[in-house]
Amino acid sequence: MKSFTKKLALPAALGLVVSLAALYANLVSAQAPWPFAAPTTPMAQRNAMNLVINQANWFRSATRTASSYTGGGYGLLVQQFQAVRDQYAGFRSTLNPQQLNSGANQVAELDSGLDIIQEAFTDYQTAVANGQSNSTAFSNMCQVLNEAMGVWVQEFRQDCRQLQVGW
Amino acid sequence: MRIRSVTGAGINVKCSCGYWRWLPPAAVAAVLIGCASTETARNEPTLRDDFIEYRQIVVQAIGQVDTTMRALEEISAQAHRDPRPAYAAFAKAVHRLEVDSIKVRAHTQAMRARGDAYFDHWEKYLAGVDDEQVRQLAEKHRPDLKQSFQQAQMASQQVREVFRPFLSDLQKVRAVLEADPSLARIDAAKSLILAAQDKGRQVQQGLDRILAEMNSMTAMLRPPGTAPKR
Repeated sequence: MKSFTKKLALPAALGLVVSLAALYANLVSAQAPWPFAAPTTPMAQRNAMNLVINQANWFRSATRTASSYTGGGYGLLVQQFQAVRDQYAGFRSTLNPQQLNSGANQVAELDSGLDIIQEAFTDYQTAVANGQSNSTAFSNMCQVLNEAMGVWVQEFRQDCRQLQVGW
Repeated sequence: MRIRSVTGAGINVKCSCGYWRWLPPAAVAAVLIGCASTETARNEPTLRDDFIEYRQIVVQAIGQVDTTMRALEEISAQAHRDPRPAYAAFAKAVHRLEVDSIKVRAHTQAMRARGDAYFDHWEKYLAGVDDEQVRQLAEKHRPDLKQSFQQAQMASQQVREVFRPFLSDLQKVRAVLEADPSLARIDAAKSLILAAQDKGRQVQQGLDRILAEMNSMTAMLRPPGTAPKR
């Protein structure tokens, strides 16, 4: 009888531990979004906006120096471009509902703008496949990326002013 | 003052366990103080004049495409003489188009992505303009404006679909002629040049259609007796 109780006690205890763990996990996951949701305060918006602009400037700077890197710097540019996208996604999450509503068209255009700039990477690969010299195709891509990001940042700044980001 | 004392109770929690009971109200008070901050409350962005901006972007894009098409024609025209300067001008025009067309392509893509919501935004803007006459005209011509927008949206879709293949053809022509823009090379690239010209014409038609619709919308919203703006 005693050994039977012992046999039952172990799975029951394990079950209890598992249940408590599941309950705790539920509680934690239920609470998790609150502390991790991006704040929409003016300060948070200003910070996020500056991060996007800084990252875009780093990216533009990388396009000017990429050809001097070993291996051509293509990978570095892809990485830096992705970083701009990530910072921009972070920025978007700091916009308040009013800004998202009033600036829905602008936000959609900024999204599309990044998609279109990204096409320059594909264009470079196509150009090389079409027989253009690697150095010329890469140089073209870098120039397009640099200037296109400049246009995008200009739009981004203008939209931020319009949407009163960080006010 | 009362708020200060409640927050103070929250800060002193580690002094005595009895003060723990103050923590939840203090946290709530802190959150409420944060919510009541005037900084977030005055964040009321103004709507952008999408309508005027899009028209300007389309006008610029028409100019860019026209310049590139002329530069492409010039390569064929100069093939029997010295086509190098014509090629240089063409390569420059393609580069400018790659960069400067970003705005119009982003707008057409966003219009497609947002569909009717894009126009709703324009409507909302028109409903809030200061000019009473314009507001009334927007209300009066609402169905016509919507129809014009739908036409412009369809034309934008056409531009969006043809623009990328057009640019791709131009880039191919640039790549093929880059090393040696000679008569023989230009002749060899003839079919590619014709394909690029064909797509370019479709882009031009699409942009012209958008501009026509934007002009017709502008005319609907122009108060009688005012001069049309360029």
